[in-house]
Amino acid sequence: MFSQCVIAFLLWSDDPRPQSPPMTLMESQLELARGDKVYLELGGGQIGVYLRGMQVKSLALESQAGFLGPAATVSRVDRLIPGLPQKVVVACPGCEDPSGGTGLDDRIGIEEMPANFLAVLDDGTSWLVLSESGWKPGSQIKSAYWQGKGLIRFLESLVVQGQGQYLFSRMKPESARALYWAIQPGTAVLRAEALSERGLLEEIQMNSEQVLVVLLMAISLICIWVLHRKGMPPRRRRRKWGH
Amino acid sequence: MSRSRAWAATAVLLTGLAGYFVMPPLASRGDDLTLPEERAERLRQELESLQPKGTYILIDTGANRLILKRGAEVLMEAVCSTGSRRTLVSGERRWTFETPRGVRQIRSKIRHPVWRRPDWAFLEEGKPLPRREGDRYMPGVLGDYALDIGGGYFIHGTLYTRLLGQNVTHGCIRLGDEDLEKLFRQAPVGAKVYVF
Repeated sequence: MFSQCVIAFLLWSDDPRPQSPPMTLMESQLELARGDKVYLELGGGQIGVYLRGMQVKSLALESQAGFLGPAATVSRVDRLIPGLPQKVVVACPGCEDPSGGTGLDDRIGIEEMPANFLAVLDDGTSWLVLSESGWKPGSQIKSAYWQGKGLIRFLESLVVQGQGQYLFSRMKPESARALYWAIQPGTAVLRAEALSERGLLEEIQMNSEQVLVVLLMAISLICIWVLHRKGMPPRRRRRKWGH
Repeated sequence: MSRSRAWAATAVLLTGLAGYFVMPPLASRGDDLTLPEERAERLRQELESLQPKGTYILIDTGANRLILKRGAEVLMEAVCSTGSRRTLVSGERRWTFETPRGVRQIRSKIRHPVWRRPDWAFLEEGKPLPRREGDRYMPGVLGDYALDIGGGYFIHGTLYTRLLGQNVTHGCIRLGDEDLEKLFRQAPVGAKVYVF
């Protein structure tokens, strides 16, 4: 929420940012459908996983908000934070496979994919996917951590590339993991519809409980600081050297 | 924090929020997203032509599910096993056991397939590489049928049926005996295979 307010402030000045030439949605769809790679389409309250123009999977969104360029824009995943989990086995001559040839010990399944992550797109978009919600303190801290990370990445893209776009998707944990599984660096992301700022407003309202938590945390910190100051001996005036 | 600083911080926040509300939608910055009807029709037709004709297979590597379809009709649905995504390192050589995503097609169908064990199969078990080519062949471990989807990848059977539904393979797609037989009978050579 805080990061979104800051982003709103940063985007206050309506400066023209470089944008790719306009392309219709159908042209963009066709361009991607001609390839043999998996790509994503954002729109209609869902994230569609596509192959050759056919939707092979649909991942439901709980909410989505952001500041993005026009619809029908295609960008590619540059990197994922955190990166893909890896399991490396070093072959050892004469050693027996501890899994007995099943590979069960070293597999990486979908359940090991992160449910909160940041995808940095090649056009400078910071795409933050969060699945933590509710009142659990752990989930609030995790959510705040990832929102902070998203904000830093967004500011970085603003300063370094002179442009910054921000997309915030809230999903169920299993959908977020399936999304992480589906994308890899290089995966194309097509925005099938423009996001309205109304979405961000709704997101801010939805996250009002987070604001409360952050406020309570801030008040607690101030109280601790004040108590700490009261408990300290009065500061002595520093003696001036020389005459 | 002094009172003036608190006011300044509030002013900054309010300015940002005000900016957010008055900011015109980014999407409506003069981008013409319409196409002439004729061109739109041509694009629509081209998009439709890319859709699979006849029978095709969908393989969800995350959920470890295989679906055989004809148009919108589901002919068969099965639990499968796909790549483990683990990496094996042996000296300078490196293998990542992943089922490659993308569109493939059934190149051939094989009865009673025999597995030619690649180098990683020996190295993984800590065994030395065989000197004779004949020592690489292993009948019976791939089940009764195999469907070649190109690039050295197959849809085949397994001895480890209890591991179906998990990411445990070296990149191939494993199916249970009954499902494999059904697929073998119903999926023709040339059928598209969508792996995602």
